[in-house]
Amino acid sequence: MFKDLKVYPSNSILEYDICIVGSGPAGISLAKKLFDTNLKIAVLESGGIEPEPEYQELNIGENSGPSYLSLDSSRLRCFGGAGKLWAGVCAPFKKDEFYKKAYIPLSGWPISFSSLESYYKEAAEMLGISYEKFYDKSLLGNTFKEKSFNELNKNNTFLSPNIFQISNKNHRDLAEKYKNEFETSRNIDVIFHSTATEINLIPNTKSVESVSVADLFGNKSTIKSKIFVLACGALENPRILLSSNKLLENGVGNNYGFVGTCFMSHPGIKDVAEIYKTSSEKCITHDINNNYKVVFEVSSNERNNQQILRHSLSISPQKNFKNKSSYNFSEVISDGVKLFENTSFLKKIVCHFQKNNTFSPKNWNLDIGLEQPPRLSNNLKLHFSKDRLGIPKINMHWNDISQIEKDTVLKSVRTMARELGALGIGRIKYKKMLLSGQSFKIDDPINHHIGTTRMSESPKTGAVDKNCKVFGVSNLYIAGSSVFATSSIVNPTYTIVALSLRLGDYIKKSIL
Amino acid sequence: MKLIRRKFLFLGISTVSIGLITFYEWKYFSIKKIFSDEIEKFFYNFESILPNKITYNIDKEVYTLENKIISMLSTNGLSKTLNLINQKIKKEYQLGKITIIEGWILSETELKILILKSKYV
Repeated sequence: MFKDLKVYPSNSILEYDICIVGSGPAGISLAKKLFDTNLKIAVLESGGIEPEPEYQELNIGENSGPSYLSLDSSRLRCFGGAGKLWAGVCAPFKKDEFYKKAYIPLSGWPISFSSLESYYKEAAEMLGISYEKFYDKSLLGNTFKEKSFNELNKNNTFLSPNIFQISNKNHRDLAEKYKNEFETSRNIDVIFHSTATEINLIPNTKSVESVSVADLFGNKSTIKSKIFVLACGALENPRILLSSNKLLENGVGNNYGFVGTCFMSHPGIKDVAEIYKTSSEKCITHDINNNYKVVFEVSSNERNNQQILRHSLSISPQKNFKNKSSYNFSEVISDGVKLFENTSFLKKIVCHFQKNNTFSPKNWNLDIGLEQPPRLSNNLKLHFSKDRLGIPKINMHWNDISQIEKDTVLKSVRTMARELGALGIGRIKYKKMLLSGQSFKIDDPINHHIGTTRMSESPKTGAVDKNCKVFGVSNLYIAGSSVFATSSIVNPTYTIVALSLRLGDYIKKSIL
Repeated sequence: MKLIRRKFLFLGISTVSIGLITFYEWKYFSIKKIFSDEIEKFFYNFESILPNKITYNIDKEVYTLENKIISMLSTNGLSKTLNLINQKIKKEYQLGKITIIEGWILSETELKILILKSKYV
């Protein structure tokens, strides 16, 4: 059922079997997994059904690191959370990402890919995509970009293609998709305008007794439950753990200081190189579909040989003309001359008007998306200032690019150049901005928030165990990208859903 | 007696030198005449991706490659030579025998060819 905190008398004590804090993709997936049980479940949502400005303001925080990370954009306090902003791009992690790598400190997960595979399949069904399609080689070679460099799919040595599927808008907004089920559910209450303000531990600090909630109009209540799950994102999960410090000075589950550390995102480095295709310009007939895309990267073996991170090599045709809202007279003349100088102009026009055709030029741009390694220095702490509910704001210290990220960009471009050269299909030129280091100074984190309550074998290297249970607290779990041990390069939501479904199964088994 | 020997040695060395110079000059010009079209055609197959204004260090290896290409053209003809050189370039990319100049990532042989191209074409 849908409820609002204001309907309860102030200082009510509400009792449930499971309390899920947050109704984003993680919270909804977990609750959905528990639909068919008789468990009484509360899903606490800080905002309303739709985003409201005054609740959005609770996201505002401070930055103290060398790189700026927007803390209030790309997050929504409403039913569905950041899932409502998600473009629906899905891909699973690769098997080797779960292994420890000697050249990446803190790498490796305490679980294997196989323990997640069945949940990836289940998540695919929820999101309206096909798990098998990620590994379907018959899909390779049909897109415009692949056809422009078609040898890359056939005879490549160093690069491997990855299929990314796009969950369409009817499926990717899980809140919208399951809204009726939640609204009519008899065992699940979604309580709006109930921001968690404090995790209350029992006196010996070994388990959680309750969670305090409040709205912006002075209504307050306490939620008691057997099990608590934090599912409010990689910025809010550590924030509530750190700020719940009445009994433990360092906050809940933070005996070894790992809560809030190892924040990761996916920095995007634009225009790192230009690709010169050696084959002639041509009009390419290709499949037009919006269901999947193919992105290349240096293959796992080669990546490990070169000791670099995962990345995506994203190619796009170079534009002949600058993208401008207005032109001055000299620019009109200059571009006009270019237009007539360009002998392929007519070919382009003809190609443009043919169905399923796109003109493939000789010059292409290369952008790179990066994995970030877990680093203690990228962390989130509490700021001395507080929000309207009295919760300390986030103080983010983020230094987005370290040497291994820089090496990854330079080496992956070099490797792509080797591949294109070995196949005789193209040459690559590093852009001056990249060689001078300027490209690395541009803040473009793609707003994926990962890490901060990382999964690990030991409380000395993480905040939750392999079952997403907070170390040292018997009934507190975490769902979402904050438990990721490493960040990969793929969009996190698909893995968030898979991990939440896995957690749902674990909770079912442990409580029923 | 001494004067005659000196004259003899001087004339002898001069004759041999002139002969050698003439022979090699003739050989060079005749090769150039016979293969200049072929060489130009050969280099036309490599696109000029490097800017002209850059000055490169033309080292001994470039001349060695030049002689090798001339020799290959005379022995194998244009098509086979192009094929062999392209295979060599591909192999170098595969093995990582590459060099970076003005941001361009090129195979070692390819760079030498582009330098030579500016000489011929």
